[in-house]
Amino acid sequence: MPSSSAGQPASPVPVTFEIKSAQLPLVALLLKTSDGDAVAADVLQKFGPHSESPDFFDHDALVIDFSHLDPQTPVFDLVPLLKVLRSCSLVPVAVRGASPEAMAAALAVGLVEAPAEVHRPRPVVEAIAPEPVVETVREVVHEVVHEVVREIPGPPTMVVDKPLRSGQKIYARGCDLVVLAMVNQGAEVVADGNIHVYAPLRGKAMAGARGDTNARIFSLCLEPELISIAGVYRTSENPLAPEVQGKAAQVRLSNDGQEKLIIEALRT
Amino acid sequence: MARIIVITSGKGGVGKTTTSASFATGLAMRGHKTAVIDFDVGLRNLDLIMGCERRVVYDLINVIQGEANLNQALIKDKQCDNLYVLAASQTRDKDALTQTGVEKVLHDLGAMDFEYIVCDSPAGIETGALMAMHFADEALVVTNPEVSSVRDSDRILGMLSSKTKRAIEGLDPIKEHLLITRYNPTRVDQGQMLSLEDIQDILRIKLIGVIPESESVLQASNQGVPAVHMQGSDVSEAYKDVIDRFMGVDKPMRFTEAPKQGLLKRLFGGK
Repeated sequence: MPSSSAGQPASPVPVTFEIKSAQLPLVALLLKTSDGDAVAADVLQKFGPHSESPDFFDHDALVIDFSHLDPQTPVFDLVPLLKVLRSCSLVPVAVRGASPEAMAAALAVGLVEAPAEVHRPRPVVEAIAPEPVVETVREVVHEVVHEVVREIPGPPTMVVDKPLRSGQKIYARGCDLVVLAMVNQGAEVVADGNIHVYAPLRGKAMAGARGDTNARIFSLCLEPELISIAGVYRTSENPLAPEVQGKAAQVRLSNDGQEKLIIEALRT
Repeated sequence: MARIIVITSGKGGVGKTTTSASFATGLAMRGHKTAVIDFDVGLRNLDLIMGCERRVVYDLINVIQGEANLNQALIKDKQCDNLYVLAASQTRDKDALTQTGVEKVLHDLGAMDFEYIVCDSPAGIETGALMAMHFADEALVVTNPEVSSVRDSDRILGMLSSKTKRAIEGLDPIKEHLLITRYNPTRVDQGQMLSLEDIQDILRIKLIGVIPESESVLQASNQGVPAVHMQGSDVSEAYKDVIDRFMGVDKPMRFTEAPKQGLLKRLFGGK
């Protein structure tokens, strides 16, 4: 069909474009203080160009979440914070949970208003075994990046069939990661979804890297240096229980709101 | 086309240069025209171990920078007809090692009918080590039976499969061989060293040989003689086995079991 719109000025549907509804996965920056400079400094230290993980983000869209702040707190200038976020390869696009004054300031610098976070009920995790070996974690750390609005199905699973050796790192962005060879000490596997290692897992494994608390880690031989799900981590300094160390096991977060790492043997 | 073999390890002091000297010598003793290149620019050890340090006039960097040609820089070994040494420079900075320069040297050696080119890598994971491995067809990963050496070898194996020419251009991967040096079965039995099985469980590449811990290695390097020439020593035998396996001969591993001690020795102690 010829697409000359000049010949059909009265055409109700333009052929050159179409407006459709779309959704975008975002990372959220949950503000815990109204001191914008302090936030900017901390973000820069953790993810800035000279930090340990300058490539953590890859031009990811970001929403700045004010919902944990007291609405009475004074509005701070967003511009320096936005500059820092951009230098960390983040693209701030929206603000949510802000007071009317703060929201007006955000709109003025080109951000949009995002709806408040919707708490979706978590799917119930069925019991794997009558009495699973339950291991709780003592070190619990919540990263800044925590909540994620994820509605769009991600790309298919990433499959790696070569061994991952010390110094190598794999990131399965927005999907699950399946590794068919060993992950050695000093190697790092990161996925936004689940991580399956059908071989010894001796390095670091981080599932739910963008905050998916339903993500899990599976391995046929679990002896990791570090495991983390949605930012809740545990290092090998704190040894795993003998029932799971070096065995086929899975790691998940408890679904009781406590967000403890649960490590249990896989029963066959 | 010459076959390029890199001798690498990541960690220093595990026996790369000793292995380069003995491996290259072993290949030459079988009649293959072989060149061995020291990539440790700034330190220079290979010529000492090969016993040709007094004959070094031009080195690898001179050739790369066009100040000498290969015929001038290659030092012919006195004991082996088919063996030539290309020494490293002690006075230059390691940045003088360029990828195009190294490629040209390797190519020119191939044109001179060399069958094997053995590249003695420096320790670490910087330019020198990357240059030594970049054009390799095969790699001998030298590992000592201790945790840090195994970890560094693992790192090097990762780089061999991602940073080299074969990896970048998607050609057949580099053939990797594991060579365990300074192995002492008695200390393994006492739990002071990692066992062969432990090392292979972590690295998971094919074992090409086990070189026992021995005083004759130190003796050989002080005399400037490759250890493979120390007739009758277990180290020499072990290196010859490595060459055989490299040539495709199936040989059982030797020197991996602790010698049985007699009753008297056990009672009264001994070495």
